[in-house]
Amino acid sequence: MVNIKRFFVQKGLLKTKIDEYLAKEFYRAGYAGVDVQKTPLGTRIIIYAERPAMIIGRRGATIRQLAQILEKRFGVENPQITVTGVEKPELSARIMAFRLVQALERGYHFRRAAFIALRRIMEAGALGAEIVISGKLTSERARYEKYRAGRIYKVGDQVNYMVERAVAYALLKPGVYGVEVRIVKPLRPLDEIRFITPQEQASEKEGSKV
Amino acid sequence: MAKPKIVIEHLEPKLSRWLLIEYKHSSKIAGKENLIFTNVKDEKTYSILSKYGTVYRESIIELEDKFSDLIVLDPKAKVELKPHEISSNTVIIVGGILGDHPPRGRTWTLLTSKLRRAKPRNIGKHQFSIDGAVYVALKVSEGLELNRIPVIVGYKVRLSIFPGVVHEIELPYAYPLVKGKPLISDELIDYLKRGIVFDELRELEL
Repeated sequence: MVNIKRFFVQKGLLKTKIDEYLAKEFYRAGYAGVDVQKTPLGTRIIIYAERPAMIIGRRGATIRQLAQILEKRFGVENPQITVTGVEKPELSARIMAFRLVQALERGYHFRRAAFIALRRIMEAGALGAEIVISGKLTSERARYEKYRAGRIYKVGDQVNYMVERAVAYALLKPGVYGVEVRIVKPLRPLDEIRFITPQEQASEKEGSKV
Repeated sequence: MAKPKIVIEHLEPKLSRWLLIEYKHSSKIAGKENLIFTNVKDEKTYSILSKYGTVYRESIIELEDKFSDLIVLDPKAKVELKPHEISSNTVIIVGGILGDHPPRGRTWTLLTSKLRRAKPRNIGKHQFSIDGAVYVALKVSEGLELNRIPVIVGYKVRLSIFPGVVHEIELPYAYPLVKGKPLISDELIDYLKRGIVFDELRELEL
C-alpha cells in the first residue's frame, strides 16, 4: 500500500523546495509564488511573478535552463513551466517584501521604504497591512519596527483565506534585516455581519420572482 | 554601604548616539565618581565620556591587576550575581555593547573569555541594556536578591507619525522596573520617537 502520509509530505516538501529556490533566484523579477500540478504528461509548474519577462529570458533561454534545473536537481518529471503575471502586485505579500528588501539594499532609509510600501498596499485596496522590519537598524541596538494600517487579522479562519504573509531578508553592512509583510486582502471577513435593509429584502424578492 | 565601582568596557567600534544615551544614563544611576569607562581609544570619545566618568584608554583586560575583586556581568555566565559577593572593593564590569537579537554572546567572546581573574556572573537569562545592567548590579549590591528585582522583557514605544498608521518600535531586551515603570531614559525614548528626523538629517550630511 502506498504510504499516503509520506506521499503528501513529499509533495509539500517538493513544492517548498521549488518555492524557496525560485524566491532566491527571481526575487528581482517580483516572484510571487508557484503552483505545482501533476498531469498525465508530466508536471505543470505555474510561476506567478510581477515581471514574467525576467523569468522567461531572451527567447525563453532562462525558462529552458530552469526546466533543466527542476528536472535534474529537484527530480521533477517533464516540467512544463508557465509564467503568469500578477494582477495586483501590491496585494501580494511576497512581492512587497521583496520590493522592500530591494529598496533597503539600494540604500533607502528603512522607515521611508516601509511607509511607501504600506501606502501602496493600502491604496491597492487592502483591508489592512503590517510591515515589520527587524535587525540592527542604522547600526544601533537590534530592534523591531512595526508599521500597521487598517485591520489586521492574526487569528481565526479568515486568516487562511484573507491574510497573506511573507518574510524576506536583506543582507546589509550592519547585518541581516528581516522584513515581514502581512496583507489583509479585500474580502469579507467572518466577523462582518450586516442587517439587510427592508428595501434590499424587497429588491431581492423581486429579483427572485423574475 | 559603599557602592561598588562600575566599569563599562567600551566594545563598540564607534560611539553612537544610542550608546552615548545609555552611558549617560548609567552615569546618572551609578554616579560619575563610581563609573569608569575603559578601552576608549578614540580621542573624541575620550573627551565626551570624561564628562560622565573616569576614562581609561586601556582595556580592563590590561588593567585587571589594578583591582582586587572583579566581577564581570555576562548573560552566558552560569552563576547568578549574589549580594554577599559584592563589597566596597568590588569592581563590576559591564560590556559596553549594543546587543543583537538573538544575542550573539559577544560579551563572552570579547571580554569574559579574556579576563583571567574576574568572576563571571549573570543577572538573569535575558539581555539587559547597559544602564539596566548597571541599575540591577547596584540593587544587588544594596542587598536585594535578583528574584526580588522586577524586570520586564520587551519594551514598546508607540508613535503616530501619519494619521491611520500605527508605528511601533519594539526593543527585545530586559528592563528593570522602577515603581512599576521600565527603567529607560527619557532621552532614549525621545531619540527613538524623533529618530526619523535625526536619521534623515544624517542622510543629508552624507
